[in-house]
Amino acid sequence: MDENTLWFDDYSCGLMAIAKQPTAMIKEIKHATALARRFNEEVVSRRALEIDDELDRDPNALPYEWVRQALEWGLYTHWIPKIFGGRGCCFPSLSHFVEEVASSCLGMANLIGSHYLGIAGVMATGNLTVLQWLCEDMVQSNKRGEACLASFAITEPSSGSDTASADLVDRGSISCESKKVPGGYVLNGSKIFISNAHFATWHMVLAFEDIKKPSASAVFCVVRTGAKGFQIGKKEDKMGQRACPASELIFTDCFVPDKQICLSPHMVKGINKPYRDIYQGVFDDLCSISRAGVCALGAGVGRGVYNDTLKLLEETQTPDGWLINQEWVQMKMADMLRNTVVARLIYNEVNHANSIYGLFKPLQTKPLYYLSKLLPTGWLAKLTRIIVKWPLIPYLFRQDQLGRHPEIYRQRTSGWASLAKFAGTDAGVENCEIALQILGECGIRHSNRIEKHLRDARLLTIYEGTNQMNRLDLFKNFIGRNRKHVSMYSD
Amino acid sequence: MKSSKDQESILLEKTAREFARKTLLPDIHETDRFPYGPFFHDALKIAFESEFFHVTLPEALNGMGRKLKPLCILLQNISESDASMGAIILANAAAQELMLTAGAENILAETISPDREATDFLTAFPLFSHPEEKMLRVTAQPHNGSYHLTGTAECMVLGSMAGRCLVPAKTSTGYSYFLVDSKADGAAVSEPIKNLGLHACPAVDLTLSNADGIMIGREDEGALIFSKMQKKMMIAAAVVSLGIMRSSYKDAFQYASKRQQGGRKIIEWSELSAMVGQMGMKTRIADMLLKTAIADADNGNPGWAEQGYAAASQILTDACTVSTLGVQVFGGYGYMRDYLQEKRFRDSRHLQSVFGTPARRPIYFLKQFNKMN
Repeated sequence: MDENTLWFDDYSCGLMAIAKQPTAMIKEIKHATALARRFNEEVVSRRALEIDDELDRDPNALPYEWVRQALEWGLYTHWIPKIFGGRGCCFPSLSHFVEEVASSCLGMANLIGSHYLGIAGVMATGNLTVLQWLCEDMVQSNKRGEACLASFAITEPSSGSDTASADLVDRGSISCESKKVPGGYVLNGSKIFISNAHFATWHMVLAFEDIKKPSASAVFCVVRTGAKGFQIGKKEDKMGQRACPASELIFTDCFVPDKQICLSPHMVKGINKPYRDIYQGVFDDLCSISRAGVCALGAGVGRGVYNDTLKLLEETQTPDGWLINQEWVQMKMADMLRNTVVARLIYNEVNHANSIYGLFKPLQTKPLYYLSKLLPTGWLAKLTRIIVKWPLIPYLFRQDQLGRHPEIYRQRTSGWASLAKFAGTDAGVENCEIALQILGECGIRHSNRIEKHLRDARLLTIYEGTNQMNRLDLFKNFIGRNRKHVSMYSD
Repeated sequence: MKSSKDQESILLEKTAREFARKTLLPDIHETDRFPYGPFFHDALKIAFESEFFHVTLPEALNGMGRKLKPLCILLQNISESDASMGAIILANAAAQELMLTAGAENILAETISPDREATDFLTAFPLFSHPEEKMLRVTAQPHNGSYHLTGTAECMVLGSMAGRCLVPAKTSTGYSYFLVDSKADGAAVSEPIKNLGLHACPAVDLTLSNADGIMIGREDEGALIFSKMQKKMMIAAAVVSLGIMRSSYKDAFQYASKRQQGGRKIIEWSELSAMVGQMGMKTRIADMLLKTAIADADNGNPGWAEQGYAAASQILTDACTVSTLGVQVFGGYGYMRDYLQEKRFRDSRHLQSVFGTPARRPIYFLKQFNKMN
């Protein structure tokens, strides 16, 4: 492949995906968007400001009402594949759904998004067996009317953005240890800023057998709330996104049975790669999904603040006439709309990249997609239960997931995801700033929603790797690759 | 040898710093929770007893000669710790300055008689609005040689506690300012408004129904006196922002010098070093611009108002950039209320709207100073 072909394939994922993706996905995405709109109208918009206020009044309170509402709407299983008993809505539609919900309340959108981040974490490790029973547990709980949520726990008190990079994690300060014992692992250490931790039943946790060589000894496991030696610590008092609490997880000699280990250095036999590269691959695949989701949150909050600003402008009369008729305001509104539209275009492009090169690919190839649509869920789930019991199937799935993808595919999905993450979230925050610039005193009032959007949006530029880290990831994957003298994290 | 003015400034700076350190900082997390946390009545009382609310008054009224410098010394040193108290002092100073600009010294003298208590001494003022930006919702009608005011004045800073409010109201062909007793018949204040920042600087909506008002200045002269007051007080407002910038920079530098990521101190990573450096540069520039602007304003140098307005507008915006960078340097911790950076982030944006919407300022600049030098 010459330089031009690379350029075209890298930057035209949407075009490349046209022929490869099932067209029925478009209908699914429209359905998901419509579902989100109804959810917003009937639940989120009505209570978002009050819930934010209640949680400000009492920082230790938890918004169980939100959790219950999302459960009643079936949102915790809507995107679980049908082969695991879920409703099987296609993954790209989740971005559109969270965008829509974020336009009313970013915290609520993240509460749902974080649940699927936990599931995607398991998916990225390529462990079909854990994925099957974990999803089934969630589906069964849902049927009983019990919320069974997931969280994803990687951040530690002294390692923020380090963990997602094998280069940085090996130089950083890691403290969450996992010790191999007969029948499983014992965890010790803590995690912080874990979204949904107080609500989750299952926590996808990253720990290390050797904290001096983390990337070569990482253990990904799922831990159940209530496990001996596992405690949910303090709930953080955040500036915004209060509807999605973030908390500390504390492990003190917490035993995790082998059944709950998703990936460890002892589980990669036959994959012709150093474990360090596998570790990086897991994070690249995961971040390629999660960063698209965060971009969608940026697009959502950007649109929310755009809508609310427009409403306020329509109601504001100045001595010179209606505020909305002033040219400088019209220019600012055009900038806000641009930011929203561009953010959406970018996360769509990441979804296309994931569909043809990344983690979405297995379920979005046309035969599998249509087969999964046509067959009844119960039948598919039963079949999956049977086949994961044959060791060969999970083995092959993992080999494919962790070992097969060409490097260029990962660079493409990771590059786009990094770009989306910082561009989409910067756009969302910029819209909030523009709104304050136009509206002044009116914008800083809680009752007008603008200030809530800003407080909520500000976290987007920090989690899922700071926007600075994402810029570096974009450089690594698209700009610096195969270039002379280029090295990362070395200045 | 230092002049008595210099010594006065040094003493004022020391007093303000000690007040901030001993009185404001220890309870800052609690007071920032207002109205869900306690209001700092004791701090307000100490500020009053330390004569922080007198500094902009003429010497005849026990002030320091209507100069900006003493006010700005106070505001900077206090706002480095807590911009809310800075905004309280600023709102009251803006009200006093407006009355003095309108030639209402006698009325002001009555309101600040020595026997008054702190809250009774203060005058509420709509600090975060520009009277010409929206249609005014209060109308004044002449009544027996006085005026009756009807309508709602939004976001009166200090309105819940001050003895009186300075309200802009429509008069025959324009608008004028009126002093209204907030406890008088026909006056009612809302619950404190929940706002983005400056939580301990409460504001309320004031609803008036044929409430008595004393006109400040002459009828329809509101635009003129507001403009004069604003030119001076914009500089003081920018000093509150400077306080936020200084503490953001200081804390970010200290944190980045200790916190490690990827095996070394984060300040040693070039991008992060550039971010902290940018914070430092913007703070230093603001510092320099404001020193000049304050001196020029106090000396009445030609062009002081134009330059001061431009500098202040820029600094109010730059404070937002600096506080944002501060949050980003702190990472996840910068978003948590246990650290003060998220408060500075909110406060800087709230303050950005002082005397009206930020995006209009270039238009006002051209309107007010439409001469090319």
